[in-house]
Amino acid sequence: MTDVLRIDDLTMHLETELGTVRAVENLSLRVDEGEAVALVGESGCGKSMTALSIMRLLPPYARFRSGSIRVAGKDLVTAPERAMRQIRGGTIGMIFQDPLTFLNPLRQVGEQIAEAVRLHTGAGRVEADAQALEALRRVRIADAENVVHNYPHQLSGGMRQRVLIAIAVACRPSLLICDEPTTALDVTIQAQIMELIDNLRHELGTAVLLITHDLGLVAQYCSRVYVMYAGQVVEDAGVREIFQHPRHPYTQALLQSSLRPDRVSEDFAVIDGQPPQLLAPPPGCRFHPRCPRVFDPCPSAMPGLDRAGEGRAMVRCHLEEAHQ
Amino acid sequence: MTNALLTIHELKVHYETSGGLFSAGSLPVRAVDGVSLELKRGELLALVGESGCGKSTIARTLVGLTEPTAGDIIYAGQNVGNFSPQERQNFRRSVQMVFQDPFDSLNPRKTVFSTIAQPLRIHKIVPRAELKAEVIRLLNAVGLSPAEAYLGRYPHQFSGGQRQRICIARAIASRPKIIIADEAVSALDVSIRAQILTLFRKLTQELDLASIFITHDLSVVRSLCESVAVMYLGQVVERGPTERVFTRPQHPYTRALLQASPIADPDVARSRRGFLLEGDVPSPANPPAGCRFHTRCPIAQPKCASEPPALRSIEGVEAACHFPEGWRQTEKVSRAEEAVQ
Ligand SMILES: Nc1ncnc2c1ncn2[C@@H]1O[C@H](COP(=O)(O)OP(=O)(O)OP(=O)(O)O)[C@@H](O)[C@H]1O
Ligand SMILES: Nc1ncnc2c1ncn2[C@@H]1O[C@H](COP(=O)(O)OP(=O)(O)OP(=O)(O)O)[C@@H](O)[C@H]1O
Ligand code: SF4
Ligand SMILES: [Mg+2]
Ligand SMILES: [Mg+2]
Repeated sequence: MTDVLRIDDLTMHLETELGTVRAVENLSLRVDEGEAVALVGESGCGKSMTALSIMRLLPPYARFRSGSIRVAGKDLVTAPERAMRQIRGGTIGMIFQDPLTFLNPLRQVGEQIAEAVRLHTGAGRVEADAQALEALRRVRIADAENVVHNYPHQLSGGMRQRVLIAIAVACRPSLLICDEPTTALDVTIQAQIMELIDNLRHELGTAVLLITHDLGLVAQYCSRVYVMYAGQVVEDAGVREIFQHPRHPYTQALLQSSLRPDRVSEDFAVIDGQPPQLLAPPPGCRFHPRCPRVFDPCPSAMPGLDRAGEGRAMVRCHLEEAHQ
Repeated sequence: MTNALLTIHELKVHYETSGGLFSAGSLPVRAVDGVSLELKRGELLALVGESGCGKSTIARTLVGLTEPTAGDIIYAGQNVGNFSPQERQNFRRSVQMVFQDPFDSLNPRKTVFSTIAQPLRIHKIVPRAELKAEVIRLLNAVGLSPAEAYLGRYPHQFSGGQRQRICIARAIASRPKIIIADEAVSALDVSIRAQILTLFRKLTQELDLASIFITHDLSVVRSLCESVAVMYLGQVVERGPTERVFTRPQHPYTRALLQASPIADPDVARSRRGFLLEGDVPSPANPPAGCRFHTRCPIAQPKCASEPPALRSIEGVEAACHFPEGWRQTEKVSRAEEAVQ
């Protein structure tokens, strides 16, 4: 399998007035052709900052401190802005939680899709309009001939998200980054959108990086999972391995506190303590102040990301070292 | 209807949209259109359904923030519409609300102490001299301890989960009989959500509180609430004990909701895929005739487009569908096909 995205040892800091926010630290992540990979973790752990690093859509005070992001033979950390404009919306499509912030309220949706097509494929006006219509049909918008002339506010939330997906896939990207694509939507609409993304993956071979905190979506749509905690990947494994044999204590706690509609949980498992502050993350293992299995080395030494046996998960935890 | 603490009878709440007197087509939004519900003492009732189906409108009507267009609210056997001002104030005190966003619903310039002391003062719950002790007791009850350390702090000094606890402490300060939680855990991380759900369960048991828990998260309902009402476009389409409704849903919309709810288990999830509702939810200003669900229903028949189904008892629940067995039959067919293969 060839990878469409390969992040190695990426560190990205936000130099704010209050100090350095360690949003992404020593993060490595790979997405292969046609694969659906999940990035999960609690609010504020750095998922969106990872996605925005790939797209280089970061605030001006963001700084790459180490590592590389390789896409189509280029390192996006150092690529010139001109090259990034081709990557964004060309090689990599992205959809966000709130489609309205990325749609122009004053322009018809058909025009907005056609513009993306012209920019990235060099197609002429007529050809681009035709592709825009085709893209709307592909995301199963009924009555696409009329919807091309609609403005974003005339569409429902689910339809807007489809328009954003249509824009994202119109140029046949090799990777689609979806940052909480359905959090603002109802469950039945969420199911429609997720099926749509999954079908596009099968039909067009687009790889998907799904950022979410919904473990149900992960179980349903992804084959591999990266679990983030406080700016770092703490575990990375196949989806069954993560759900059936989670190894990192944070992954275990996360799974225990998730609820299921098909099962009654007698106790609601709580992860004690506060989520960490990325302005001043705890020393040693970042999970140690909340970890039920904390032991000697945890408060002082940062565990490495180790492979838990041949062909197994990568886990950032001293317990793994102790086992070996 | 005997041991109900609160009964909502044929409630309608229609919003007049400001289209102006002469503008044609500005139909009122029929946000709640004939809803009947019953809440027993100490019961945890879930109200579920998609965005815009009228859940918050019911909540707002119960706490007096919105006027009903028609229908009755009966509290402890008496019609709230006939209450004297004094009785009305007592009722207000007895029904408290917790909102989705603990950031919006706390005054950023007030300390925790004055936030929680306010309802105690207004409703004269305790003598002035015992105010502080009572606030401390409430903070401890919601698990914010040592409470003394928190009294002088401001909302921004707390995490989301802690802020939601402050909101709950404020809600239980006036010693209500009913708490209405409107998406009270939707904005929280799973681990913090677990704290708040534990708290709800504990308060329900210890204070004999009844709660209406509004959410669209069916996994929360399954583990927290003993009964559930499912709404679609301003109406209740199914209600009953949670276990019944979740294991043997009678209404096709309930079934669709359950099947659209992802399950965090790769093996279960993959075998469940492929049940999808088509289309969007229609506008509550102009709901479909007949069964309101017929435009999206996978088993609709011609009758569904003309005759509205009434709620009736089926298999231990109440459901409003002409063909509650319809999806069961389609399922039997596909099971049989599977078996053949
Ligand atoms: N523009 C910004 N300026 C400074 N700090 C920021 C900015 N955006 C995010 N952060 C901080 O960076 C960290 C990572 O944020 P990020 O948005 O990546 O989290 P996330 O994992 O996407 O969370 P969520 O699930 O809530 O979307 C957080 O601690 C956040 O407070
Ligand atoms: N003040 C208002 N004026 C006009 N229409 C309103 C008003 N408040 C709500 N509505 C409409 O009434 C319907 C029901 O709204 P409500 O807020 O009760 O839904 P809900 O079930 O709580 O949805 P959600 O899950 O999105 O919170 C919606 O169509 C909404 O747009
Ligand atoms: S009444 Fe008809 S349309 Fe409505 S849910 Fe039942 S079968 Fe579907
Ligand atoms: Mg984010
Ligand atoms: Mg609401």
